[in-house]
Amino acid sequence: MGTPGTSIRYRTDNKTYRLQTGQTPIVRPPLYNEYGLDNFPNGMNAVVAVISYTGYDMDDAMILNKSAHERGFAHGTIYKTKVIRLDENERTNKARSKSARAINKLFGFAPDSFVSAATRSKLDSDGLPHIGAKVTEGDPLCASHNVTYDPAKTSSVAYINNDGVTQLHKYKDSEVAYVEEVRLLGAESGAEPCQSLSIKLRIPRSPVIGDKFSSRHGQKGVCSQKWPAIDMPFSESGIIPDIIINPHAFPSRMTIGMFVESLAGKAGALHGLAQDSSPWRFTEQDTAGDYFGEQLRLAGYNHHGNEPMYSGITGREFAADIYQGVVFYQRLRHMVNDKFQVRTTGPVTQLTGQPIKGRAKGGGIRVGEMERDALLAHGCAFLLQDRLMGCSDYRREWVCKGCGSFLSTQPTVWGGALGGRRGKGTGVVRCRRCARKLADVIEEGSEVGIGEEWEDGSGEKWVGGEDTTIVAIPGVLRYLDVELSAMGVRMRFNVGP
Amino acid sequence: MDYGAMDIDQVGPRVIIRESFPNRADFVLEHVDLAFANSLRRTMLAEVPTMAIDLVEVDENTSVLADEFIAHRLGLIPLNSKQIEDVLYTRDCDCDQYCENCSITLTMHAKCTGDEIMKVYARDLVVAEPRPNEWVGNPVITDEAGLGPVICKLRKGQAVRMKCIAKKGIAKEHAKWAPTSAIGFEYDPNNKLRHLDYWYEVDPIKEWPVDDRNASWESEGGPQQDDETFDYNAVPSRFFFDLESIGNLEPDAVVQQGIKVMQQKLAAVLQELAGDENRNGNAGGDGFGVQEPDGMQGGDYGVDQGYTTPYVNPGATSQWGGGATPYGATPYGQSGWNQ
Repeated sequence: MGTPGTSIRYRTDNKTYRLQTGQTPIVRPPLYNEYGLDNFPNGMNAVVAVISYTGYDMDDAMILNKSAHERGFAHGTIYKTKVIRLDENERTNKARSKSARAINKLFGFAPDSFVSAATRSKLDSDGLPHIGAKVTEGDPLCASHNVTYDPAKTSSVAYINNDGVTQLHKYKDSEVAYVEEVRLLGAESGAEPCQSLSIKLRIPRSPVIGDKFSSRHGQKGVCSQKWPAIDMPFSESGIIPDIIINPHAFPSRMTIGMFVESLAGKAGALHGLAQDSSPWRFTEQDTAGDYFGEQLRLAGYNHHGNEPMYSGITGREFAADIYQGVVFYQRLRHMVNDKFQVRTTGPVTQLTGQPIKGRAKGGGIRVGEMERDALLAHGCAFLLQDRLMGCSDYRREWVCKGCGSFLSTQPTVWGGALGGRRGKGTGVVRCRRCARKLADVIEEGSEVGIGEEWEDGSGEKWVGGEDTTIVAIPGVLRYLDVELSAMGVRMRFNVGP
Repeated sequence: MDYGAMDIDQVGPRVIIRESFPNRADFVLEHVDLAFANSLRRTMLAEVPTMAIDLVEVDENTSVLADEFIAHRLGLIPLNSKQIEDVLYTRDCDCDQYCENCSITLTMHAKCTGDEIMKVYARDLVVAEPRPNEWVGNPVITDEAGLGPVICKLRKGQAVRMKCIAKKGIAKEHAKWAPTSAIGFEYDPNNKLRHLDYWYEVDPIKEWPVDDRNASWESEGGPQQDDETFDYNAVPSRFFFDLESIGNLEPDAVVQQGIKVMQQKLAAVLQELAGDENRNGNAGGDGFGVQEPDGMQGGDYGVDQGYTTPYVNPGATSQWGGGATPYGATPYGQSGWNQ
C-alpha cells in the first residue's frame, strides 16, 4: 500500500490501495528527492527491535505495538468502485444510444410507492446513497423502478411507472464501507435519462493480525499480535519499539542492508538527518557500520546499535543487549480480510454433494492426500472421518445385504389391490434384484407364507428382497457405482455384520 | 546538596526529584524493589486517566480527508486533564449516552473562504460550557504562536463541521488517553548486579556508553573494579525515572495519579483477599475468596499434581466410562502416570 497518485479523488479504479499515514523515509537515496517521492509516501519509519520476545515473533511473524497501531501506524484504505447499470440485461443492444422508447428503467424510487423507513434511512430521496454513509452487507446502494415511455406526455415526465415497485441494488461485499462519491454516468448523446452510475466506496483497513508488512529489504512478515505497549520491551530512554522481529530472520537470508538501514535510521532520527542510502559509498576500510556507528556514539549510544533493554512485564534488564533501530516499513496489500476462508456447512456441487471450491462462494478447503496422511499418522480417525465424510458428502443410502447393491434398492409402493392408497409409499425399501416374482416361486413349488408377497406399482406380485439396510457412505461412492454400472461394471458391497 | 545526610526515614520508599521541567520529571526512586518500580512505570504509562475525544459527529466534511481519518486525528489531540477526578467515566455516569458530568463537547466549525489554503488547528476547537472544571477539555497548546496541532487543511469552499465528545479514559484502552510519551527507566547503571552481559568486541568499558549522571549517582560509584567481589544476593533498589508528559497532565500529576491508581488497584486486591461477610466466598474456609459456582466443589480437587479436574469424575475414569488418558488408567492397562 502506498500513495498511488495525487488524483485519487478524481479516479474511479475498480480497486485502489492507499496508505493513510505515510512518512518520508529517514534513509533514502538522493533520487528519492529528485523524483519528489515525498508526495507519494509508501511506508512508515518504525522503531524495530530484533529480539525473540514472547514467541509471537517466530517464523517471520512480527509483533506490532498496540499503541503504535492506535496512533495510526500502517493505517490504510481501499477504494472500490461499483458501477450499476440499469440496461445490464440488454447488452445485446450494441448501439449505446438507445431510442427514448427503449428505456424501461430509471433510478430513484417509484413515484408514490411504499418505501420502508429502513431504506429511507439508507438512501436519499433521489434513490441514491448519502455521501459518507456507512454501508454493510445487504444494504441498498441505490433504487430503481420500471417505466414505460409515454409519447403523449400526459404528465410532466416522459416516462410512467405503472407497477409502483422499487427495486433496490444491494451492496454484496461482507466488509463495511463508506460511500465516497456517486457519479451519474450519462450517455454520449446526452439526450437520454441516466442509465448507469458509478459509486466509489471507501473501506478502512487498519492493520489486523494476519496482515503483511515488509521492510525495503524483502524482510516480509505477518503481524501475529498487537502487543500492549506496557508489556513490550523498552530501552533506558523509554523507547518502546513499534515492531518486534525475530533474530532468526537474518542469518540465512543475509539481509545486511536491513542492519545498516536500522543503524542509519537510528542515527538519522537522533540527529535529525535524512541519511543517504546510495550504494557503494563505503569501502572495506571505511565501512557503513563505522560511519553510522560514530554518529550513534556521538548521540550517546553504542556504536553497534545495541542497547540494554528491559522486560516490560517484569522490568528486569535483559541478559543480552538488543539491536534496535529505525527501519522504513511498508504495508503490503496481502491482508487477511481478503483471504480468510471459513466454512462449516455451505454450498455443495450438485453432482457429488461435496463442498464447492472457492473463497468467494463460501467453499471449503480441500483436505488432500497429504493432510489425510497427517491425520492418519496422528491417529485422528474420528477427525478424519468427520473431514472426509461428515462435513463433506455424508449420505445415508439403502443397500441390499443380499446382493450388495445400492442401485437395486427401491422404496416400494402400495399396489392396485388396496385401491385408494395405490401409488403411495409403503415405507419399506426392498431390493428389486433379490425379489422374485410370486408366480415363479409358486411354480418352483416353494412355500409362500401369508403376507410374504408384495405388490409393486404396476400390480405385479413379488416375494423377497427385504434384506436391505441403511449405511452411511460418502455420496460419491454411490455416484461411482452409477458411473460404473453405466459401463457394465457391477460393484458389490459386503455389508456386515 | 547532600540528600543522603537529610534526616529521612531510610526504610520506606524515597523519591528524589533531580530535575523538573514543565513537561519532564527526572527522579530517583529508592528503597523499593524492582516489581514495585516497574508497576509504577506501567501504571503511569497505561492507567492514568486523561481526557481525549472519543466520539465525533460529522455534520459536514468537504475536505479531502475522510471522516474517519479526521476523527482519528481529533482523538489524538491532547486535552487538558487537570483535576480529572471531577469527570466521571461515561460507563459510571447515570446518563444514557453522555452528559456534562462525564464528557466535554468540543465543536469544530471551519470554512475556507479565501484563496489561500486554510489550516485548521487545535485552537479552533471550541469547548462548550458547562464542564466539570475550568481546565478539563482545553486542547493542549504549547507552541509560541498558540495554534496547536494541525487537524486538516481546507481549500476555498471546503468546510468541516464536527461535534467532538471528549471522554475520560486510560491508555490501556486506547493510546490517545496516554499521559506520557515515554518513561525512561534504568537501574544499576554500572551493571554491578550483572543482569546484563554486555556484548563487546574488545573492551566493554570502552565500547559501552554510560549515562554518567545515573552512574555517578550510585554512591558506590564508578565501574566494577577488578578486585571488587560480586555480590550475588544484591537486588536492584534504586531506579532512575525520566518521565515525559504529553501535556495533558503535569509530570508530577502523572506520578501522583499513577501512585493513586496503583493504591486503588492494590486496595481492590486486598479487599478480594480479605473477603467480606456479605460476599458469597469466605476467606477462612478454603483459602479462596470468590468462587465459581460450579468449580472447586470436589474435596479431592487440588490435592494431586493437577491431573484432575473439578468436574464430575476426578481421576482415573472419564465421563464416558473409559480410562482417562494419558494420566489416569488407560484402556490398555494400569499404566497411569501417577499410579
